[in-house]
Amino acid sequence: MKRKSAISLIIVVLLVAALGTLAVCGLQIGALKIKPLASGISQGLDLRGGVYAVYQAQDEGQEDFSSLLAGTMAVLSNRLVSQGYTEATVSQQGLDRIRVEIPDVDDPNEILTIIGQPALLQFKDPNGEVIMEGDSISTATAAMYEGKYVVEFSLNSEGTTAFAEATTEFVNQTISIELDGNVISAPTVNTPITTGQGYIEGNMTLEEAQNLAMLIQSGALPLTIEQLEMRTISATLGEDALSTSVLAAIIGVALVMLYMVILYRLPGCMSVLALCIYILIDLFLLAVIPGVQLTLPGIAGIILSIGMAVDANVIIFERIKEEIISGKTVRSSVEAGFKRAFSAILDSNVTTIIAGVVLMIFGTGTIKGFAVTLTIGVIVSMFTAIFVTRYLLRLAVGLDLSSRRLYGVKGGQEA
Amino acid sequence: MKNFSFTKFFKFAIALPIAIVVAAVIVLIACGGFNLGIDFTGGAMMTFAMGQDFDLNVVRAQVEAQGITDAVYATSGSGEDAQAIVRMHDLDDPDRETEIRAAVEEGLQAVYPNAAFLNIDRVGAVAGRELVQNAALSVGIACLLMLCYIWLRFEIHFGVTAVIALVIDVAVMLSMVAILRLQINSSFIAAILTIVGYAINDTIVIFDRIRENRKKYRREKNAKEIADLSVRETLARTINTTVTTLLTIVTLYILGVDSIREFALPIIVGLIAGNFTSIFIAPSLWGIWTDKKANKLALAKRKPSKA
Repeated sequence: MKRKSAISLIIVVLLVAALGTLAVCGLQIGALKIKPLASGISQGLDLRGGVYAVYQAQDEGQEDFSSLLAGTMAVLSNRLVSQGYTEATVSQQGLDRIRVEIPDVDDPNEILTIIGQPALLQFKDPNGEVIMEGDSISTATAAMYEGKYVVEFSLNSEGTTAFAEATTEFVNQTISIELDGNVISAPTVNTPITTGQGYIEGNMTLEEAQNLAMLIQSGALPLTIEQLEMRTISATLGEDALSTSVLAAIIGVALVMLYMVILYRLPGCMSVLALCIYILIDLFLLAVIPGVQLTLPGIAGIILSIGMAVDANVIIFERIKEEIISGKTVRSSVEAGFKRAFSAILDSNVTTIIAGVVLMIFGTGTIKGFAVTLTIGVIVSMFTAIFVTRYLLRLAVGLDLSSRRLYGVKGGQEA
Repeated sequence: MKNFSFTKFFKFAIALPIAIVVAAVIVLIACGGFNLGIDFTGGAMMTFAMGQDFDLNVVRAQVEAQGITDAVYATSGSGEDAQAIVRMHDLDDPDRETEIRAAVEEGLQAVYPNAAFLNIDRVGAVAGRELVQNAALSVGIACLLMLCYIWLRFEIHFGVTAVIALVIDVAVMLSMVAILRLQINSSFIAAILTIVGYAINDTIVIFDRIRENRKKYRREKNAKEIADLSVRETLARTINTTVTTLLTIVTLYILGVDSIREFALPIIVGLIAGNFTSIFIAPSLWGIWTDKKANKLALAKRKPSKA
C-alpha cells in the first residue's frame, strides 16, 4: 500500500512535469510537431494591437433583414480578405450591429473607410436610366491602359447582353459609371461592345484602381451601415500588457502555492500538484475550444479562476482539519472532509457559473472574453478540486504519513 | 474571538458600508457626478506620441486653434513614452477629424519634433448608453438567477440576504470609484460583474455551514446563535480563500499596465467588500430575520390558544 502510493505519486509528479514542459516548450519528433500551448491560444485585439469598429445596420424593418445582414457581413469579410487582412473577424453583435476586428493595422481610418463603403456601382445611359449594376460584373482587376490606371472588367452573360444592347443604342453618346451616386467615369461609346469586356478610367492611382476593383468584385453592401464606434490599440501596448500579465500570473500563482504549502503542509503540497494539473487543463481547453480569444480581462479571468480553484481546496482542507481535531483518524477525516465539503463547493461554484454564463450571453468584446475564461476556469476547477485533489490526497494518505501536523493541525498528540 | 458575536456586531458592521456610500455621495455632489469614460459619454479620443516630456498647454493651444474648446486633456507615460490624450465630443465628420488631427500633429511637431499622431478612438453616445443598460441588465439577471438557485438549494431567506450582501458589495465598489475619482469604463463594468459572481462564493460557503448546523442544533440554538457559530467555524476558510485570490490580483495590480490596473483595483475593493459582507452582514442579517420570523410565528401560535 505504502509503496504503491509512493510509486503512483512519483508517476503523477513526473507526468505533470513532462506535460508542463511539453505545454511550455512544445515538441518536435520527426513529422510529429506539438506547438507550445500558449501559441495555440488566439489573442484578442487588446493584446495584439489593431482596430475594431462597430457598425449599425440601417433599415431594420425591411424583409429578410437577417439575411441581408449576413450578406453585408460576408461582403465586409471579402473586402477585408482581399485587402490582405486575412485574420480580421466580422461578427454580429446584438440584432442589428456588425463588429469588425482587424489585427495589425497601420492606418485604421483608411481600411475602415474602404470596407464601409456602400459600393453601389451603376452604369447609366444618357437619359439617366440604369443599364446595369455592379452585380453584372463577374471579374474586375486594376490594369494599366495608355499610361493610366484603369479597372478592367468582364461581364456575366446577363450583363453582356444588357451592355451590348445599350452600347448599340447609344453609339457616340456618353454612358456614365457611378459609384454611390458619384460619377467616376463617363466614356463615350465609339462602337457597340458585345464581348462583355470593358474598363473604367478616371484619373486613378494604382491604389485607387485596386481598391475600386476590389469594391466592384466584392459587390455592393446589401445594407447601409453606419459606424458607431471605433477603437485602436497599439501593438506595443498589447505586448507590454501580455508580458506583464504573464509575469504577474506566474508570481501570483507561486505566492498562492507557497501560501497553501505553509498553511496546509501535506495537503497543501497535493493542492500545488492539483493546481499545476488545473492550469494545464485550463490552458489546453482555452487553446482547443474554438472561438476562445485571450483578452486582457480574459487573463484576469484566468488568474481569478486560479484563485478560485484554490478556494475549493481550502474548503476541503479546512474541513479535513476540523475532522481531525474532532478525533477521527487521518484517513477517515480525508474522506469525510471531501464528502462534507462537496455541497459547499457545488453551490458556490454553480452561482459563479450562473454569473459567468449571463456575462457570456450579454457581454460584448472584452467582457465576453473574460466571461469565457472565467466560466471554463470554474468548471475545470470543480473537476480538479473534487477528483484530482481527492485522488492525490488518497495517495498521500497511503504513504502512511499520518502525523496530524502534516495536515496543518497545530499541537495535539499524534494520531 | 472564540465567543465573538457577529450578529451583535451587525449594527456596527453595517455602519461601515453606509459611511462609505455617504462619503461617496458627498464627493459625487461636490465633483458633479462620476468620472465617466468615453465608453459612457461617447466622443472621440486622440492620442499623440510626444517622444519627450511636454507641456500640456501646448497641446491645448493647438487643439483650441482648431475650434475645439470643450476637449479634456491628459498625459500618460513620460520621457520617450510620453503621450498626450485629447478627449472631445464626437465630431461625426471623418473629414473634419482627419483635418484636425493633421493640423494638430503639424503644430505639435513645430514644438516637439518627434510628436506623432498615434491613434483615435471613437464611441457613439448610443453605444455608451447601451453599455450601461446591458451591464445593469446582466447584473439584474445574474442576481435573479442566483437568487433562484439559492432559493432552490437553501431557503428564500438565504437567497435574499445573499443578494442584499451583493448589492452592498457593488455599492461599495461604486462608492470607492467615486471617492478615488477613477474613470468608469467597460473594464469597471466587467469588474463589478466579476465580483457579483465571486463574492457570493464566500457567502454560500457560510450558508452551507448554517444549513448543516441547523440540522445539528435545531432545538438547542436559535438562528442568531447558529449564524455566529457557523461564521466562526468557517472563518479561517473565508479569510484564506480571499487571501489566495487577493495574492494573485494584487500581483496583477502591482505589475500590470494601466488597462489591467483599472480593472484590478475595483476587483481588489470588491473582494475585500465581499469578504466583509460575507462575514459581518449576510449571516447576521439571515439570523436576525429568521429569528424575528420565528418569534412572530410563535406569537401567532400562542395568541389563539390564549383566546
